[in-house]
Amino acid sequence: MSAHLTHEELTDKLLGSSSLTVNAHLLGCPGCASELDQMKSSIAAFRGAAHAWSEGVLAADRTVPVVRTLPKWSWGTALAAAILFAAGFTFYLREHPTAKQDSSAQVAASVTKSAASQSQIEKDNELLSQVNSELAEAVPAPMQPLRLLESTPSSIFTTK
Amino acid sequence: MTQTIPVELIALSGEHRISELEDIDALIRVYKPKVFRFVAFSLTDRDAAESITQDCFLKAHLTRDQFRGDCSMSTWLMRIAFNLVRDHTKSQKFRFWKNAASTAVDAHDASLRLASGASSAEARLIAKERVEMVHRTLQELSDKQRSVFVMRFVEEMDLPEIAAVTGMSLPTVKTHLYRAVGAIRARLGATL
Repeated sequence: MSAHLTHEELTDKLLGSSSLTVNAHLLGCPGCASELDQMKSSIAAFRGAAHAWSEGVLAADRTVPVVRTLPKWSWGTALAAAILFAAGFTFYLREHPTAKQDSSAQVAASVTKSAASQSQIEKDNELLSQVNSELAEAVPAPMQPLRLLESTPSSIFTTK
Repeated sequence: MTQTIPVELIALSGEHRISELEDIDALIRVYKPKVFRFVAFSLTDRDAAESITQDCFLKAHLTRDQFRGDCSMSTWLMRIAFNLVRDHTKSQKFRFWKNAASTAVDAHDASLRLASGASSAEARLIAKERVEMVHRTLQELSDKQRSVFVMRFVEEMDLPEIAAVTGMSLPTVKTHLYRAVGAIRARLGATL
């Protein structure tokens, strides 16, 4: 008799396709028999739990219609989109005339502002012209008295 | 006029005609637990399992003309479910937003639903631990290994039927089962 069953032999036994040799080994080998029993009981416990769990879940869901053409999230998304669209459309219809009035007021304000800006620009231009004319003079303001002297015929600085 | 065969006959006969698919309610009533269980434990995602189970029956109904009766109704439905699971698994690999924690099949919840026929509290505790151990190991298997394991050991389908459902050869099915059982055996050995 070999030492112990191979993994394939043990699995075949679990699958229900074991040979006579394997069965004979199990009768004489408590180690392999025990391991096989533990495997069987573990899988059977899992099977029992899986069946009980699924039955419980489905029993809880029996109130829900059985056939859905779309997954749950699709219905939810579609509903949310419809609500958002309806709310947005209603808001638009309600707010549109006001928006239009606001737009007219903005144009008028813009025109007024534009006229005010034009007068301000003219004032600025005038000021700039004045500054330019002052800057354009050959003699700076602090030297104006000298200029007056220069223009006088009896100036002491006149050279002959 | 469409003839509707009683549900019990659908479940027992194994000889099905296209007309039997017309009664979608009866079909769902008979096969939904099996399909749902297979999908839920293949994906370990309850919400996805509910959605895919519905899709499975919808697809079966829409493509009922393609059913020729060359296999059992169960095999045909499981084939559809297997393909949907495979497609879902492929698409899920690219979804990083998946919140597995909120929709996962809870092993603890499943283990609490164990039949209360266990002889003692100790026996129930051992059974609960083993259920959780098998469930954890299942999650570590490859998609195909997990599906094949669930078909064989949860749904108790025989190997030729699994091969017919998955489109795999018989040796390939056995190889997946060897690996799945090997993983459980290793985990069981570590816990003992």
